[in-house]
Amino acid sequence: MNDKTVYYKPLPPKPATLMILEPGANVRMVSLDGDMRVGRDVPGSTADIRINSAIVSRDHGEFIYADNSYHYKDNGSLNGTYFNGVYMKKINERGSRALRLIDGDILRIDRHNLSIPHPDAVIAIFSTSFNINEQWYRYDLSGQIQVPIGRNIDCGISLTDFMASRNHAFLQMQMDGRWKIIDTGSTNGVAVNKNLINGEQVLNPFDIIKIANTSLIFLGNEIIFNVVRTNTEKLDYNNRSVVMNVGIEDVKVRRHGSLGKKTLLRNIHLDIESGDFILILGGSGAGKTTFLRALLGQYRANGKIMLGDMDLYKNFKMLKHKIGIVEQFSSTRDNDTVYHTIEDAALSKLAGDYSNDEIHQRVEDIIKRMMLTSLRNNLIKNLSGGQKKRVEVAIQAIGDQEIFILDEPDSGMDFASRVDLMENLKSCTESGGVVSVISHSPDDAAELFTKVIVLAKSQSDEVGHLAFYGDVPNALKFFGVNKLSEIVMEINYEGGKGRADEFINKFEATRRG
Amino acid sequence: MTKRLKQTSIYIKKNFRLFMNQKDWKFILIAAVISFLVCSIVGENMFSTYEDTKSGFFAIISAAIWIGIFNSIQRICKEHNTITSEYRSGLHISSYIMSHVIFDFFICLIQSAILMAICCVFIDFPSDGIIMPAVAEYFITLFLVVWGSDIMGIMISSVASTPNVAMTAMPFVLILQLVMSGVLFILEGWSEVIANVTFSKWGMSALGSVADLNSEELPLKMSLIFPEVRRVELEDVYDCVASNLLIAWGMIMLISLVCIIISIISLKFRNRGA
Repeated sequence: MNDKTVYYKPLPPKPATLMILEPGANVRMVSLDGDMRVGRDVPGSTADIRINSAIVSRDHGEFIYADNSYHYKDNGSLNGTYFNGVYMKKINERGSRALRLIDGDILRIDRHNLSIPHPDAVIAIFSTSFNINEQWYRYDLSGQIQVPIGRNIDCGISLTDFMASRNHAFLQMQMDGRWKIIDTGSTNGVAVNKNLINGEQVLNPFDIIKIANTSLIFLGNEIIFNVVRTNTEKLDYNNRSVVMNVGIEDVKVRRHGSLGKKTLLRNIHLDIESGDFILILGGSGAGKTTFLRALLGQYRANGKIMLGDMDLYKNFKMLKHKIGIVEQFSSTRDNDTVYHTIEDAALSKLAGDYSNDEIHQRVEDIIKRMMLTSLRNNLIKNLSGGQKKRVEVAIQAIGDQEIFILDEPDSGMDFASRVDLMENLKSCTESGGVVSVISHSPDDAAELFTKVIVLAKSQSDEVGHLAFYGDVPNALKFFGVNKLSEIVMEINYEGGKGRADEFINKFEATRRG
Repeated sequence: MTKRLKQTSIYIKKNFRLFMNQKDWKFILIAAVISFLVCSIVGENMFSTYEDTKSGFFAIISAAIWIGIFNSIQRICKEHNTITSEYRSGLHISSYIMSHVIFDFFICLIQSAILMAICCVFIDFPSDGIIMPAVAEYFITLFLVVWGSDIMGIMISSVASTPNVAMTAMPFVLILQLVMSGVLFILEGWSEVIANVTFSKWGMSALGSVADLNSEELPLKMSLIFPEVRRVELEDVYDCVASNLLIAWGMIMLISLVCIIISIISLKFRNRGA
């Protein structure tokens, strides 16, 4: 047993964004970074978030980061704050109770009668999935009856999102003056408030409409929507957003020949951010593959996996295309060429809604990005293991996948090919994608990984647990080792030091603070 | 629907590329060799006696079934992993299966044209058919049997987990087809029911009807020696009537349709968790 105290730096606050809608101003995005105070923008104000509105107090409220979540508290302001339409009551002279914020929560500073908004009313929408760098636009609905939404340039709300259909949906005003959204049979569907709609749905103010990667917020008389970043834009690592929030209580799987289900994984809670290149480590039976299957939706875990602001399991049909997997076995046809393999994947995924020119351009971009230009006319069977994996990643990347999972992509490769492949995979994260890799040769390219997930099988319940989640330097400190491969030796019971339970308990204690 | 059609078209083109790159055109050569062997042996005695004609048709139908199954029996099962990956990315299984069915339509058309052409070299076919010239009716029958058997191969390949499993199943399926044709054995009871789902029975029925196997012009071999010996019990399925021919064609198409549905269901079931 190692009795040295090891310094372990806890994870920084989760990135979150506040979208502020002020009267007559453009949409403002504010990055939340731990505790922050909100107040009126007046000379000498010390507020972190300053709002230009007469009905906002100098010290109106504050955001508090605690227990891995953001909370909001009204500091006894004169006009108060509405939390999802409910007035936050003052409980003492310091203000109201702090309320935990989740994606889509709406804070509003307004007069008491919300149906007649004050001209200086301010609305703020909390999100962990809005990207701070994205531009947002306002679209005025007044005087209109029908507004088409889609990639088509003629649409009233014209989207730049590659995965939106040309004519994706339209907004229509009903006889009673309320608006509804109608899905025009789009490829990727329309979700309202995180639920896929069936044909059409009547909208209420502050409903969040999701069309592919575009969020549209309905405010009653206007729509605000984001301009989706293209996958050629470089990610700003200082302003990353949470792509996936994993909250797995347990994963139970029915084994062949047995009637009941066996628990294989328990208590996995972590956030994956845009641009992460994640190494998944663990001994045999620690639940690595089970974890991947749960992320893919192939095993339904008890708990929640949020992809952006949507529940993966509840919206599986709409979201499953966003997670691509490259399996250990080859999933390409040996006797087809590299170009045709990728082109067919593009045609198959994007058919019907994209012109041949658009698809061709997409294929060329991917071939270039995955450095396959010189191999484009080669048959797959003539490629090396690493080149084949690059083709398989290209196939997955041709759609709008946000997360790529690779199960031992480097097995059977020599050192140079392994490093080459990992560098290639790392390049996929530079535009904001997430790549998760199970590898048994983690030290080849250890410096490339941004995070390490360590899964370990506990002896007490014979189930896989999270033994660590954090960056590489912290992982080495946490386990007291010099190399990533030594982590597995530390936790393995068979052929290792058998310290899995020690690290599981230590990490759980660290996580809980 | 548009996306399904588009995917079908993409996979038909892919099938053609793989056909060329894998040198699958050798299946057409194999079909030609088999056709030559069968026709050169049975050709001489065709349309001389009832037994020789029936045996000749049986050999031709058996060759057609073998050619069809052999085209496709390993094709789907060898790419189960690829299908799973593509299904997860939005592939419609129905589009995938239909692309094979449509692409194989053309391959089977070429193969049955070769089979028919070689038959015409060795066999002197009567010119009169039931509803159209006899050669056309024979050709349509052979084509439907080859294509139907090809689709049955797709079904077996969809259900089988590996090419080995598919190839192990192939002899059993072939034997079943041959036994249930009604040529080697008299089918009664349950075997008669099972025979209704075989291409061999309906293929024989169609060819026998067109050739009018019940006609006195095709006497028993024994009748050549003892002219007073005559067939008493005629087989209804070989009556030279349009209904026999059309029912046989219809049944072949119906069995093929069922095979397509089973292929789609089995692949969807296999990939249900993906």
